[in-house]
Amino acid sequence: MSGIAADASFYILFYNDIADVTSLHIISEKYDMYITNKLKLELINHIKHDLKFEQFVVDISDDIDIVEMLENYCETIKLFYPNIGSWKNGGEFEVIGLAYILKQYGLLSYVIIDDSAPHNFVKNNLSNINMHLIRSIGFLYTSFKRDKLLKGEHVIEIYNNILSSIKKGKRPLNITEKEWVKIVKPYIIEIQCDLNG
Amino acid sequence: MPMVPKMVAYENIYNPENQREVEYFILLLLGTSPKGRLSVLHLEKEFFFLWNSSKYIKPLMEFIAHYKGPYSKALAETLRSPMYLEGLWEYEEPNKQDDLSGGFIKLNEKGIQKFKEILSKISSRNDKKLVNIIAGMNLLHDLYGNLDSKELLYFVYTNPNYKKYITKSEVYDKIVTNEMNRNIAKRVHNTIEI
Repeated sequence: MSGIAADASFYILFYNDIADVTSLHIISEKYDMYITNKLKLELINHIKHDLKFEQFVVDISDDIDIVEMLENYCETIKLFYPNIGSWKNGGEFEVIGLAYILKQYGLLSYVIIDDSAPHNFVKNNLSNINMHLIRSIGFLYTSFKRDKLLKGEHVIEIYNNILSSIKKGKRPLNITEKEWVKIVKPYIIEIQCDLNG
Repeated sequence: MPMVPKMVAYENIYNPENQREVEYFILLLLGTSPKGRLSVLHLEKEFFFLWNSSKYIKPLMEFIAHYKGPYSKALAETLRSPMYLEGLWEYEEPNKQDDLSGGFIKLNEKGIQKFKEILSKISSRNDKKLVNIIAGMNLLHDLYGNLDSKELLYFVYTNPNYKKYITKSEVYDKIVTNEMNRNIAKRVHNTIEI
């Protein structure tokens, strides 16, 4: 199966923002979801009610501290971009480190990072993994369109649930309603076109 | 008896097994670099970063403060004259204007073959420890491989975690300059904020 290293926002989308754990379980049946212990801890409040979580998530421990390597590089970046410090707590470094390990094992299909700054950092600096980089919205579409693993109707339902969540005042994946119309709506139209032949 | 003088030369590496491992790590670091070629400065600093973050590599050698930041005598000597992996890499002189890179080390054909052979063995044995270390090497090449010598040293000199390794630096003032601050700020802006 294809492997995924996803940041916290991907899991929080399903556990919290749209409260649709079933969809996450369906994704986990189609893909191997990998997560580090630190990210697990960050999600602990969400996953403690999900008895299936431990079954579908595989943890990879490491003999080399890749996260520390990234943090050290970012000590200099921090001089010019202080916000990079928050990536440490947000689990972005963990996801990037995990992606390198999965890549080396030949298990990496997707690195899902939604926040713009770490997403751009990977895109522009990390050539070993940037071809696997995607955002949650794009991943769902790709799973239907290219991988043919998620059903189009299901992806549209998730997209619509994201809009409902935004309308309720939440900020799933940090998307506003305006951005949803600009980014997500075109995906829905494309999927509908495909479904209608 | 011919081994004795060489072992004396490698006094920073505690035993022949460590020496052998350091040579294999050099081979892996060179082999995983996009062109199979690194400047001596890049090789030295990337090895330092690796050593600094690997509980496995750390006991193999020491790094000390030196005139271009963290330095390992054992690594420098091993690069010049390896004991176990002789004839796999070659040294290229730097050009005359280049007083920082220390020249370049490149795997030759034999080295590339040996690297492929080792990589295949690591994969077939599913050697988790080495797979993870190679993953770390790939990250280091991505992070530092595109930096020139000055930029690479800038990342070492401005990192508070490496402070104890830059106390003897003779090139600090040449590296941490206002112009370099502006260059790195621009690089950060272009790769993160856009």
